[in-house]
Amino acid sequence: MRSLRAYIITRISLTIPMILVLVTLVFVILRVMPGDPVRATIRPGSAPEYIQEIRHDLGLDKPLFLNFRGSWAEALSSSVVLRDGPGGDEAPVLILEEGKKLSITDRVTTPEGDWVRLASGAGFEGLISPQRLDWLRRVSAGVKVLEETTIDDQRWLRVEIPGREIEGWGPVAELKIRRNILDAQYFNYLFSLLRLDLGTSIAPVRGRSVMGDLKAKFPATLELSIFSMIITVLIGVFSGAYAAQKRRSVADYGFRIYSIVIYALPVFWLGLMLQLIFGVRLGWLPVYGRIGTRMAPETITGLFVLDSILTANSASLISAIKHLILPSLTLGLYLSGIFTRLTRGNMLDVLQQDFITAARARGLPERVVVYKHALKNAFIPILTMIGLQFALLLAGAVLTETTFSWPGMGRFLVDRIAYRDFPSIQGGVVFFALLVMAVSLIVDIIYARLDPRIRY
Amino acid sequence: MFKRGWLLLASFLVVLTLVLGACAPAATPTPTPPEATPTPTPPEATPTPPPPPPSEPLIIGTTDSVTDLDPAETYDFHTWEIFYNVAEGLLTYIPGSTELKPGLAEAMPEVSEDGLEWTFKLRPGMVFPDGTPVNAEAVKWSLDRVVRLEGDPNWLVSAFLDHVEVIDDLTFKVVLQNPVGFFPYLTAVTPWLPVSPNCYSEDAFDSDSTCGGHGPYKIVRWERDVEMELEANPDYYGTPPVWPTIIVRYFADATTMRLAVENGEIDVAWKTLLPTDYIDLAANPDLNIIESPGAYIRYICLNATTPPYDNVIVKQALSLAIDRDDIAETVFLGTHQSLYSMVPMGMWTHIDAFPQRDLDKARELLTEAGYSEDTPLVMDLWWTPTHYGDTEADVATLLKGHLEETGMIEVSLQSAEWATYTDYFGPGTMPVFLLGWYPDYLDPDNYTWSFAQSEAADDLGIFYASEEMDALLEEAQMETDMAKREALYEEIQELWTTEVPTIPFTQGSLYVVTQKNVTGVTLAPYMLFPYFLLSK
Repeated sequence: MRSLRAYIITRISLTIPMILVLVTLVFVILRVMPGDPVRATIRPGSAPEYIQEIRHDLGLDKPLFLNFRGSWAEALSSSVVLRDGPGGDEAPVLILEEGKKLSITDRVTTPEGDWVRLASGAGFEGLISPQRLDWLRRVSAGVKVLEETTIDDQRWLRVEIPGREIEGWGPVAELKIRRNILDAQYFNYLFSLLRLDLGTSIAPVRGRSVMGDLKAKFPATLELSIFSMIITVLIGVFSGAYAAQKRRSVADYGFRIYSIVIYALPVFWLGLMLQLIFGVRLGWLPVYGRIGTRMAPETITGLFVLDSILTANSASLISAIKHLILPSLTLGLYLSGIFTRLTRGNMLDVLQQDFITAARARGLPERVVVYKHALKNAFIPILTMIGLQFALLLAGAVLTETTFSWPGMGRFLVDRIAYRDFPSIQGGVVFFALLVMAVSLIVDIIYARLDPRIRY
Repeated sequence: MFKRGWLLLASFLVVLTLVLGACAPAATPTPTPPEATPTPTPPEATPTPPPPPPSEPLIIGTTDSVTDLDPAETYDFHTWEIFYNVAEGLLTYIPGSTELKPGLAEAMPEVSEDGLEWTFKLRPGMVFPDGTPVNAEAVKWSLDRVVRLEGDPNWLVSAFLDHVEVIDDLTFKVVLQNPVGFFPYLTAVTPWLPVSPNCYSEDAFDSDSTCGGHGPYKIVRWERDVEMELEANPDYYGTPPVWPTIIVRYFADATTMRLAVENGEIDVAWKTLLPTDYIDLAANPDLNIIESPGAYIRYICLNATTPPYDNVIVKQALSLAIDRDDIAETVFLGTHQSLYSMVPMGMWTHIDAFPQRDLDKARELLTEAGYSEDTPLVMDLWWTPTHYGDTEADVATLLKGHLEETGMIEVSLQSAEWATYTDYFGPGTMPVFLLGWYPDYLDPDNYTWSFAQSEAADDLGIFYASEEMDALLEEAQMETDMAKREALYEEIQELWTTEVPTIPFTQGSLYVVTQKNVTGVTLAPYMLFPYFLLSK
């Protein structure tokens, strides 16, 4: 067993580079595709200042990979005048006082030298020009003027602005720039990932914890996956074993055709047909949702079937199972074809082996030979397949969840992808990766138990 | 095995990201549409509300979703509708009409001579669901909070409000920055709703708050993307809701919602089924379909800085070449109606300003602009696949056909997902593109300013600028004499047809599908569904 432990540790540590590669890949793909989550969520036609402010709050104005422009700036002298644009002739906006540091949001090179754009972040207190105040008064009602002073023949007002941030351009020569090359979107994301922080959403709702959202959606997907897998294995294994036993019979051809047809059917179409037949025509089963209105059991695990059993709530249990049947059948049938073929192939191999001939020679009934001796041996590769198919199952869940309005992670990701909600998509991918890894690890462990010949 | 496993997983995730990125679902619902036949159901006139029936809920299905349950941040129709049912404004719409009546305010406000100061008096004795009294301080706190937090819809308050002056416990004065002709309508808009200072956070958005305000219902249970349960608010000052418990169920997809209403799992299917569903369901004897005019419009935007769309003659020719009736009938199956002005039909001041389709005239204008059959106008027409529903590809294809019928235009269709589409506004990437508009408040200002006022138009990628138009829009916004405003908006609509900042083409109706036993469906152009009049 020691070697098994070493194996598990190796496997787990191997997931780290895997996740790194995945995250990087997804990160790059999302950024390469056109589309801006901030613009997708706010009203078309919002002021550019407002959009800029949101981007800044979310850190989306930082460079993608490496930050050469600097992160923070402080005044070198007692006060530096920040202007409306990069250039000494631009209208003055505010004064950066000594000891205050502002974050850098942009940098340009002009004939006069390098200029950086600085932003105060929400809640500014300091000196601004009277012109700027007029503008602020128009867009923000909470501005408080504390005092009025004159510096170098120019009027300045000390103000307190609770919400809105204020920006200005300053010459690099007069500023002390703090530079951190890794202060970029990619590395910031990786660092927070290390702290198990998946960040917060950008769109369509800003500021929701991605981890919280995934946690809320995960039990629904898990429940659907488990039941679908059970259906897949039951249908796939038994139809495959039966087909192998009756090789070249009508049933064999029937199951082989079934396995191809069911795999080729679009999963959403299959779902729709089941909804139409069992939901609308026959009226036996509900067509959407996880559970009836107000039927949700007390949350313990988040899996409604399990929770209903734990709380001995039979009404919830019945409702949860009724709601589960159609979606898990849809997803289960879709994958069962693969298992039919796989089981059939393995069974045919096993049935030709000597020990089967020996068992038959001893006069065991055919059913015992096939379902006890042969199937058990054919099962090991099938188990492997369950681990592999899990990824496919999650892909199918995306469509099934939409068809059945099932509030799971698949539907959640589809929604967020439409909005280019980077943190949610990245978080979802990491989550899916961990899930697939966990399942294949569990499968490997069971594998070792089932087959004593396997050693790690 | 492991290698294959990772490979499979990696390729699955990558493909998932790409595929879904290319074909993801819509944000805002799909159209709906035509006929100005207002729905039955007397508004307020329910004499004696029937005794509260058992707690069996009335279930409403929708494909929309709730964004932020905070009036300071939410900016979508469905969440506004929830607020319409769980919080009332100072003034509120008379259900089924576009007229206002006093809501939390005891009477219509008194306005000062200069149109800047509006004095309201609240009804006495009202409380928010958490027990906090509804008083002048709470109103001031709520409005200040919207301005301070600067959520998406804050401009609906901060662009107009200067400050609120508390006079006594129940009386306050709203002081505006400039006179605003349509100010009473603003007070019915979600960011203007008073909320409890003890329930909402002072300095952050409460996206999952179920506090609501003082309204017919209160939120008792909410699970995001699953369902929301509303219960009659026992403290509500007005007529209690007809049905005490409402459940709103959220659907991922219109077809599933259609099946759910067909097999009786939901009582009401609200926004939005596909146009074909409405046609099919009309034949179902177990269901009712109720139609009402909506204020949802569709239009073509033209980037006024990209040649040849800087030439008004070309733009006029385009407006003459498109066949609005064809789009309304062929794509929207009669659920949209042809629209000849940016101000929708049924709204005060609407006139059919644009001329009817006239291909010969369009050809003449195109010739005048220097085009011919041999040197056609080559146009990129942009559309977005999911945001406006599955019908959008058909809209774009038909428009292409209409324009090409002149023989002098060659259209190539271009599409981009919504997140990309909106990204293209600023740089002006798209010379000609399709958009849709839901009202923020029910005034022609909302249908004109954002497209034609020179600064606002830049933000939408239209880049239209005209001093004449700016002056008219500003004057119309500030004028408080309704007759003068009407004349101004008619002038604006006329000017629109020569300058053509945008080309309106259809207006959508609202449809509700209900079980036969459901009564009290009341719709109006303000498009918010009053759940409190429903019964079954």
